[in-house]
Amino acid sequence: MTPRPSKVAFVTVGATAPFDDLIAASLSSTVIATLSSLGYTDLRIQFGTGRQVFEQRLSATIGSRHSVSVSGFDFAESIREEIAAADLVISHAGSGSILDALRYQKILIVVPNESLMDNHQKELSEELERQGYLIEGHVEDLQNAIYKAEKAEFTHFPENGSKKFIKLVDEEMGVLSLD
Amino acid sequence: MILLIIGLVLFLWTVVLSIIRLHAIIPYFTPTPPPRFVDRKVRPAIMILLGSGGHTAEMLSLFSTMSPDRYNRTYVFSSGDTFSAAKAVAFERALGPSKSGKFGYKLVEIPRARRVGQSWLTTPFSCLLCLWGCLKAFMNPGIPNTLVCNGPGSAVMMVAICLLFRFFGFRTRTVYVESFARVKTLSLSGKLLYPFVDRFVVQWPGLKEKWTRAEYLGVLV
Repeated sequence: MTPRPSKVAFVTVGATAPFDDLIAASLSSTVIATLSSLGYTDLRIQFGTGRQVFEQRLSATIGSRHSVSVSGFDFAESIREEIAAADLVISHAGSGSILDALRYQKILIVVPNESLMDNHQKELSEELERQGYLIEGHVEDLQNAIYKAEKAEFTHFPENGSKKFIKLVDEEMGVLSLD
Repeated sequence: MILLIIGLVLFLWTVVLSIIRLHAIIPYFTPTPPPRFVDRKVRPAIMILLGSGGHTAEMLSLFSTMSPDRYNRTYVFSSGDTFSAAKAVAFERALGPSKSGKFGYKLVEIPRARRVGQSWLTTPFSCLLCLWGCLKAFMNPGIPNTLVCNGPGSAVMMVAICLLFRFFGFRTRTVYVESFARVKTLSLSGKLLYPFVDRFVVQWPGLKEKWTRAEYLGVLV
């Protein structure tokens, strides 16, 4: 309902593992100044189990928020609406959030959680960055990733391939001849 | 003495026959083509395993263009996984009813193969319980024409039950889809199931180099 055009950055840490470093980085004064200078009006953060970090850092930014209004929530049934409403998505490296952001064709920065053991998440974000679908970011210099993402030309991500899969399933079921 | 020898011969004979039979039913050794027709008298059925969280989301995305008018669907979810059960119901609602009214869907709950963080010492027991649950799912609602799974542990149990039924002549086809998140390496369930499923589908081309049976059809989810 605000009269000025809103520009929303949405940060998501996912539902499975805590990622307090990403919450802290998103609420650092440099990142908020960067977002402000790029015309962002809103910062939404899905912080999962990191409510404490969120609230601490939030109170620390009072006075230096550069007209960026910050809000947050812990979990949601689906974060698709949040992604759909955002202009920029900064996400943990979970494949679900990545897919959602790519399908809504949002500017996407993926920050792998270095404290997690399985590195296949990192393989995914690296490969997707190599193909030009997203920018990989790091908690230490998130502002650089944001600048890079604002300027980048992204490749269009392919549509859902369910039709090809259903053809395979129908073949296995022996019902292809019904076509 | 004679009885002992006869017993031994019979035992060895059973072992040899079992090995021959296993060789014939394991897709890695003996790939078989899918059926060209389906028996119209019996309504075809598909069993879709919902592995939880991300597995479930990917699975329902894979099936998003399924017709509700071709076969009955059974969604199998692990006990306590209300997320997957709710997602399956919402998915079916979006799919709409079968126009002919012939086909529908069912939900079946099975015990978990292994909870996150469960000790490996007790895992064999929970796996047995899960196996028993899979067996019951094959009795009611019934033996599916095709089983589709994408991990985790319960998928391994379900494919094991499929192989058991195959051993005795039932023809359930199996499809495994590796997660979109797997770019260069297979998941543990993927590695375990690779020799045992009829169709092994991956979503990144690089995986085909090492796992030559894998099929790559592009990103499917």
